[in-house]
Amino acid sequence: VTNDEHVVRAGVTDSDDALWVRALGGDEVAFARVFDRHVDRVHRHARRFVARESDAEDITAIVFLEAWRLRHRVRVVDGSIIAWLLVTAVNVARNMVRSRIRYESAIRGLRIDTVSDHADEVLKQLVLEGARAPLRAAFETLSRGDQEVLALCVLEELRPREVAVLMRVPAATIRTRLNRAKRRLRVALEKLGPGVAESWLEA
Amino acid sequence: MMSNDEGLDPAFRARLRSELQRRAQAGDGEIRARVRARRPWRFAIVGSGVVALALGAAVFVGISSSQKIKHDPRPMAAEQTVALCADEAIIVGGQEPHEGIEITVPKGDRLEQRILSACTRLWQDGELTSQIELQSSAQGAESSDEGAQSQGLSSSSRRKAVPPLTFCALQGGTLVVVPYVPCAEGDLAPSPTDGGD
Repeated sequence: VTNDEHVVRAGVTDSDDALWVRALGGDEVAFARVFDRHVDRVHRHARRFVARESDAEDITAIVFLEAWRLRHRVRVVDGSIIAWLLVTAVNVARNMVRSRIRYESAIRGLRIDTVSDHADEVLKQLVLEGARAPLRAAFETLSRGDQEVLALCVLEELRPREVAVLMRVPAATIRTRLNRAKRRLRVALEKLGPGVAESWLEA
Repeated sequence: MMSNDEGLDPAFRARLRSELQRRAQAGDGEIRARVRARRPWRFAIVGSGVVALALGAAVFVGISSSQKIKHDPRPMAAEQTVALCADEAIIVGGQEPHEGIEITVPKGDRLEQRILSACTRLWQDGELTSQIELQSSAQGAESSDEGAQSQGLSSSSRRKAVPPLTFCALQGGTLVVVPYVPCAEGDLAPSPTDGGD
C-alpha cells in the first residue's frame, strides 16, 4: 500500500458517503462526525428563517434527529449529505409547529433551564445585525420561497442541480426561481436607498 | 453576502451530539424494543376495534332484517281483500261486469262496511260517474256539480251525487259494489258476507 493509496482511502472513508454507510451500520462515531462537520452550517442556515435563537436551535436539532430517523432514505448528493440537511432545515422551518411535536420530549431534554442575561443577547444581536441591517431588511421583505432559494443557492452555495434533486423539481425550475429571487432582492435593496444594491451585491 | 456569525450554543451542541450518539448506538434495537412494547397495546386496541365493528354489524343486520319483516308486502297481501266498485256498465251492459274501479281493503271486522265506504268515496270524488240521472225522492236537493239531485249521501255541495249501492259478488267470488239495482237483477250473486241482498 503506497502513501498515495493511503491518502485516497482516507479521503474515501472520510466522505459523507462512507460515514453515512457506517452510521447506518450503527457506528455512532461516524454519525457524530457527520454531525460535527455540518451542524454549524445547518444552524446558520436555520437562523435565517426564524427570529429567535432558540427556534434555530430547535430546527438544528430536528434536522439531525430527522436525519437519524430517516437515515435509510437520506439522499447523498454528489457524495455529500449537506444539501439534504439544508433542504430539510428549510422544510422544518416552514412546518415548525408540526416538526416540533414529534421531537417535543427530546428537544425539552436538550434545554437546560438557565436564566440568561437577556440584555447581553440583545446587545450582541444588535451589533451583529447592525453590520448587515440593510441586507437583512431587504431579505425579510422577500417571500418565503425567494428566501429559501436564495439561502440555499447563494448563501449556502449549493448548486441548483443539488437543490433540484432534493426538492424533486427540474434544475431549470430552481434556476428560474433563483433568478427571480435575485431580481426581487435587488429591487428590495434599491428601495432602501440609492447605491445600496450595488454595494451589497458587489460585495 | 449575508451570513449569521452567531454560532450554536456549545452546551446545546454537546447535548444534541450526545443524544444523537445515544440514538445511533441504540440503533434499530431500541426502536424494535419500543415497537415490541407497543405491540400488545396495539393488538388490544385493534382487537377491541374489530369486536366493536362486528357487534355493530350484527346489530345493524338484526335491525335491517326486523325492518324487512315488518315491511314485507307478502304477508300484507295475504291479509287484504280485492273488491270492485262498479259503475252502471255492470248493470246496463250486463256483458261487462268488470267495469269499475278495483280497490284493496284489509281483511277484518266490518269488511262490507269498509268496502262500501271506499266505493262511496269514489262516487263522491267523481271517480265513478253515472249516465243515469239520479232522482232523490227523499230530499230533492240538487247537485251543483252534475246537475243531478243528491240522494242525501253527499255531505258536501262539492261532492258528487252517490247512487244507491248494493254489495254483491261476481262469479269468481270477487266482491263487487253495484249502483241502482239488487244483485239478482245484475246477474250477480248476493254478498257472501251478508247472506243475501
